[in-house]
Amino acid sequence: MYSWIWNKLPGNKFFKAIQALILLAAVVVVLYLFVFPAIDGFVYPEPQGPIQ
Amino acid sequence: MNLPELLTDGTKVYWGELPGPSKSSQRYFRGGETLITLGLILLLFVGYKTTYQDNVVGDNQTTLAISYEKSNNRFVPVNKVSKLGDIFAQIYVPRFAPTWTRLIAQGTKWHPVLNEIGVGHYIGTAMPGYVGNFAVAAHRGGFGGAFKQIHTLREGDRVYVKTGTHYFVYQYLQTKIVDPSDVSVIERIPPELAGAQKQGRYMTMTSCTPIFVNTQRIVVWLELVSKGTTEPEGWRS
Repeated sequence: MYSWIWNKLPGNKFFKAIQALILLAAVVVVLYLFVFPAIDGFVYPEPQGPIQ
Repeated sequence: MNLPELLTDGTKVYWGELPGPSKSSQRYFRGGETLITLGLILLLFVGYKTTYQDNVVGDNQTTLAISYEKSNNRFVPVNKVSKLGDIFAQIYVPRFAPTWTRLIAQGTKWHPVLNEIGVGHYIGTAMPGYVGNFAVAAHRGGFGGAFKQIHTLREGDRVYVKTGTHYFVYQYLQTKIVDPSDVSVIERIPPELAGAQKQGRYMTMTSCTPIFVNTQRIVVWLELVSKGTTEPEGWRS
């Protein structure tokens, strides 16, 4: 997957590295703003204790 | 195809590329990539929970509290509190931060109280200012971690509670770390609170400890020292 993406990116190594960093940042933003809030309740549900 | 070339001295020379990884080994490598990616996403989620989400939710809870502070009539009167999530008071703890404030709502469920509003009132315990034990709970870390700094409360510290009609000032008495099953800490006269009186007007703040481990509960007891209808000295400015 990563080598496939790397080969698809245009330009020289330096230019490819910058694009890869931008892609990485975009993935983190999407995870933080959309994916993590959506899965939060499943990953970390409310524990059931003696007092609620 | 790499066919050998026969040189004049009889040696065979292969031209072209060396054989790369076989098709099956490439497939295995992709599986490794996927697992590493999932591992990194899980690590990122831990970072999200402990920093980003904690801060964003905390800021939202503070903004909500300040919006209530501006107008008294948004609070549900303490004698009309009936359902989970009814917001009836605001709490201010200067020891946490001079700007720190949260709302107090009925019930201690994560939704819609502890996660969204911040501080929850144990159903069945006294209301602020009344004889008995006004007991509240909040997260220690994550979801704004309203009581993140609860361990810093000490002798002489004051906690302010504002309802729709009154301001109440509570003074620090004692801190204790107990097991999660020790529910006696929020009783009307807490047995573990030294010198608890039958007619005492107490407040109990509870949260999880150690922070992010949550195997125990940290309890802070306070006692009512004054009440009034105007801003007490030391209230948020």
